[in-house]
Amino acid sequence: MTDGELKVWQIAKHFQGIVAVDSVSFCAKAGHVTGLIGPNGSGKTTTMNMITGLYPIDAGRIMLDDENLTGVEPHRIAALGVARTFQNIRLLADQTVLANVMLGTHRSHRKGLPSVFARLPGVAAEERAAQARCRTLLEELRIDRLADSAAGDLSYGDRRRVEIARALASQPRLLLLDEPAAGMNHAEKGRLGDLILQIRQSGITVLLIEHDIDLVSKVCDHIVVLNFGREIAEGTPAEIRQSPAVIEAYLGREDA
Amino acid sequence: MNAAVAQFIASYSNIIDLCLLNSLIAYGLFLALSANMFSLATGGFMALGAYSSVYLTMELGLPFAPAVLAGAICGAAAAALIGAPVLRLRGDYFMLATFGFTEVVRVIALNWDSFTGGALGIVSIPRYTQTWHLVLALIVMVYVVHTLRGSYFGRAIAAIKQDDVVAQTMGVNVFAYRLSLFVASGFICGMAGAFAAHLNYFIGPGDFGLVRSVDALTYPILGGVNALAGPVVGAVFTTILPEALRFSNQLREILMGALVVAVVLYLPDGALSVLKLRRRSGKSGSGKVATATPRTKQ
Amino acid sequence: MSVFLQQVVNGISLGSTYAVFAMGCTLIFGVLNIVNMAQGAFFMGGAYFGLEAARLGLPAPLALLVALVGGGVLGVLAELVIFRTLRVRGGHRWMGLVASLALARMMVGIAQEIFGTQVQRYPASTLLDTAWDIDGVRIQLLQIVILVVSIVLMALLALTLQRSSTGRAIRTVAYSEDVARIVGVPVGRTILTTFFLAGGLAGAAGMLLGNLFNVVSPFMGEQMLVKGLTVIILGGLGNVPGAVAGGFLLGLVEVFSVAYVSSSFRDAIGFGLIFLILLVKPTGLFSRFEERRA
Repeated sequence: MTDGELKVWQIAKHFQGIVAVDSVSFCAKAGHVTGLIGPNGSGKTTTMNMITGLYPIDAGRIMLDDENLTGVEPHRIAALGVARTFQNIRLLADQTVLANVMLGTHRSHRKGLPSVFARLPGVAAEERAAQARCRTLLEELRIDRLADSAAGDLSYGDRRRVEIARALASQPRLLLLDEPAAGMNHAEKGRLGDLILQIRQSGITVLLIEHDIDLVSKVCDHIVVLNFGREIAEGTPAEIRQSPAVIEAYLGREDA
Repeated sequence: MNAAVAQFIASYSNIIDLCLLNSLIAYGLFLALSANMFSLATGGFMALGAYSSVYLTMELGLPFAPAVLAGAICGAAAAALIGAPVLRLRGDYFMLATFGFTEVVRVIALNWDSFTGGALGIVSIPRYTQTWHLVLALIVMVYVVHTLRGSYFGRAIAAIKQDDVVAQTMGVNVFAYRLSLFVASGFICGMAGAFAAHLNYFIGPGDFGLVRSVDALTYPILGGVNALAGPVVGAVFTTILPEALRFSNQLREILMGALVVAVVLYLPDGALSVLKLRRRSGKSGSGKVATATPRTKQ
Repeated sequence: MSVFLQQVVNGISLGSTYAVFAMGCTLIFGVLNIVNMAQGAFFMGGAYFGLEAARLGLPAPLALLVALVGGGVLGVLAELVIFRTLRVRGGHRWMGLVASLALARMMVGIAQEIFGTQVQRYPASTLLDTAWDIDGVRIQLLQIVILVVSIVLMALLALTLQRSSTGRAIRTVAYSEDVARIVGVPVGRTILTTFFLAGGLAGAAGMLLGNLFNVVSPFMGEQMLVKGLTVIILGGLGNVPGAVAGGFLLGLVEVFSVAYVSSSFRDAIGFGLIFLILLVKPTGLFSRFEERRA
């Protein structure tokens, strides 16, 4: 059984001459929560897009355990056990919550087109099993009462949860969360923190992009700080709070 | 001239056949549209299916069934050839490429006199297509689409349509899905071309141009791309209406245009969205959700 | 040699009308990202506006202005009646295609009602009848005028897009409607202006080509739409200089293939080339960057 350790070596990304990420290296330890923080535009989401294969990387290497993710297509990376959520929540708004989460089970379906068209009993069984798994997941995330509502009708916090449920439904080794607390109130953030720790408990490696320092301090084992596409600090939450480079990078933002 | 008159009579007395044929084409387009592929290749696929099947039945004396199959395979092969390089690109390049394909096929049909009869086309094609052929093909098609929609394949396709980035990150091979659907669409349209050729006594390059392609797109879009019955509704509507308005050629075009504009403006999600809105308002009162999706997309 | 030069002259004058039309197409299809199949009908409308103006005895420059404004008004009407309504109601952009196609058919029907299905010709004038013979190459005054008019229109469009506040607004809307709204660009008015420009270019091209071949018919728009799409393929979606270059290229390729390729596949060669370009470099011959943000 592999554990989901992510290693990133000197990855870089340019957009038409503008450097978005410049030689960033870090490691997200298996079974730990690693925070990726930094001011807006520091290259956090770009890094996440490179890990998931959405952006081809210009230089460097990304490994998940023994597998090379560099230059691999997004759906193959997903198949290797990487799941993510999006900063600007991307749910299929007119479909039900259950249908959204069921999309996460895509890779677990084994029956081919001929079986589907022949309506073999195995197909329905597979579908029922996937559905049962998703309903359990919704219960664990305490959104099972919403299973049949349209995803677009939900509150912000609930939509975030559905997105996390969808990612978990794919049974990942590595879960990437892109600003999951954005737009949440204090109580919701607290519940989100508990959820992330609960995910950590189940043995999934988490890479978390977040602005909320309290949340990051609460859940992260290790933090990587980016600024202007470069890594400026790395360490435990306590070390990061003391780091002069980090304080400088955030200065002027703290009072906002 | 004789051929045109014959075609006129044939199409008038065989309005049901025409509705069935256009419904079949509509499902071919539905497959492409269901994964956000705006295909203008229909005319080209149909031309390939029509000319190749007519060659097989009239020149080589093959039976009808293998000729239709060959026509369908020609369409599918062409779809694979166009789709493979272009489907990876974002934006409307796919639309432009399919348009270019249809034009290439039309121009070749116009000039390859020995095979296609050039601008004059091919006349007195035996009328092998029976109504039950079309009914059977349509039933199979509806079964396929219906089953697909209820499976995890359908879920993946719906995800591709709404947000292909999400589909990818959930492990869906978006490119393979799109290509397969487009090849299936080519297969159906090629088959429809073969049926059409053996229905009308006559084929010519003018039957398969841009107009044919855009007409075909109109069927599922007008009927609604989210409902299983959408393609049939759109195809039957656009096939019967011109027949009903036959009293004046020019006035027909104007009325037909005005009607289509009215349908589009008042039912922007297709004719079948009437049903959907009613169902939704009965449940939660918010019919806006579905239409809000495209705008939140990046 | 004189045959060659003759083809160059013919190709350039034909290509310049294609370029004018294609600039309008690329503004709508590529810059606004709207699929407007009525662009060919605006072209046809412009040709009839110009024709009627010329028959009323208006001098050629004024007739061209009538064609341009007439085409522009048709574009504005299409935006107001169809595309804006669809945007407000949240209709899918495909519905715009269906509706604009229906609009084009209506316009063809209306043109047939008013002008009949017969081909019509411009009244005789010095513009049409003056020509010079230089070393066996026949150059019509008309061809020169068409080229000059086209270049003026291109320059005006380039100036509008690059220098004016309208141009900045159009480019902002093209980048993102939301961004445009945030920075205070009047989105609705900007789209309307773009439709006027695109319709005007189509109308002007209609009059130019109507004069060049001296043929005006209700069905001339459909073929032109095919040319417009072809030029967009050559030049790249939304690329205005690309549309100009692509227009001239298509004009030259057409004229030369008619003159030199004796096989019956002359048109197929042109289209085959275009198809090849689509497969090899689908973002257009004249595009600079290919990667877009995911």
